Amino acid sequence: MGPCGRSKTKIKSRRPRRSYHHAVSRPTPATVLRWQATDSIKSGRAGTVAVKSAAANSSAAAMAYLTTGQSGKLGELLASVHLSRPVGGRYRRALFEATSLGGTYPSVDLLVDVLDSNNEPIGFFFAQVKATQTASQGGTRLSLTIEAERFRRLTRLRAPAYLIGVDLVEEQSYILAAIAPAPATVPSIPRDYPLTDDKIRVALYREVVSFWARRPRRRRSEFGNV
Amino acid sequence: MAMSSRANTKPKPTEPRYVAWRGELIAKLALTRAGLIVQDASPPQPFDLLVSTPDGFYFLVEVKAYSSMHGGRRPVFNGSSDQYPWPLEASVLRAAVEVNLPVVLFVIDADREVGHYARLDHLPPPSRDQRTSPISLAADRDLSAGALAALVSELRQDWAVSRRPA
Repeated sequence: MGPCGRSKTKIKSRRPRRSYHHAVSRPTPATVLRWQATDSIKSGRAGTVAVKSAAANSSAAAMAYLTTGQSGKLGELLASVHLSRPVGGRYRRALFEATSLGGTYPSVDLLVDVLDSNNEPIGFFFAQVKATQTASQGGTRLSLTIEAERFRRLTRLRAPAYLIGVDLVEEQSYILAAIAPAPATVPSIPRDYPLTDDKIRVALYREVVSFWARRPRRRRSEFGNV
Repeated sequence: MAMSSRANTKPKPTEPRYVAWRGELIAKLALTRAGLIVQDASPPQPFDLLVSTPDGFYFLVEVKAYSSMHGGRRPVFNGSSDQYPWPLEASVLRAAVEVNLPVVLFVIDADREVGHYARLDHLPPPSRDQRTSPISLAADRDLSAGALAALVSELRQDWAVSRRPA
């Protein structure tokens, strides 16, 4: 359900100096995002600005350089940060942790664990993320280019599934349940359910927890005897 | 690129467990926004992220996160030129001295999504009996795209000739 490799530990002991130009595998072309901007990272330091607001400044300027792959990556990161933003009140913690499937699964971009108070997964949902750099500002809907077939596949999954639209300029994410029957086209999604809103995340948490609570905790299997 | 797991993060006893993995997530977002390419740094080296520019200049990032919501220690700055000493495990600093890539520390508030960075590569190694070393965080070295661009320029300048392997 959750990310694997919980046993990974950091080795912080003294070790001989090593050359990382040889020891660390360099990113393969497949893993390296292909940025059109060559060396746009210049210029001096900014003042003390929050990451969020800094991004709002930079994103508008950088938008022109983003390819589809880059905007998709940024959209997934933004959606993951918004989903995992801690809620206040009685929770005072993150309710979700998203794991990127890295384009390996046909209709799903994120596997999102629903976390209990010990940070342990108690359920999950699938999310397809669509990011846009050209959303009209201030409208009630976010225009997106969604492949109908990919969305239809999402609606057919037997676990909770959602579409997350990300406005890269405004740095906002909006969620929409993927429920069958899928419409023939999905040209836009409503901006009614922003993931940056604590109430929306709590409502989503309750919806997914309630889905998994209806499933029996113990299931039978013919492969069960340890 | 796989998302950071809860696994490679060791929360302090009083700190909620989301803090560490969310700190890494926020670091990845800040770096990606700045036009940099980020991947998880693979073991056995002890750092969290391996970052590169589009033209192949690499550096390592160690992420330390805290929770302002749960009263974790946080840097406090009185002005834009102010500095704050952040205690870092000496083992991290020793490891940073031993690698031949620049290493940068990110200190991130996992709740407010703000952070600051400090270079570790030009600091002297701590003495043997030292358990922590104070790392100076500067108010203007935040995780905005502009500040990270300045970091990359600075690293490039310092590492272009002197320490790159043949």
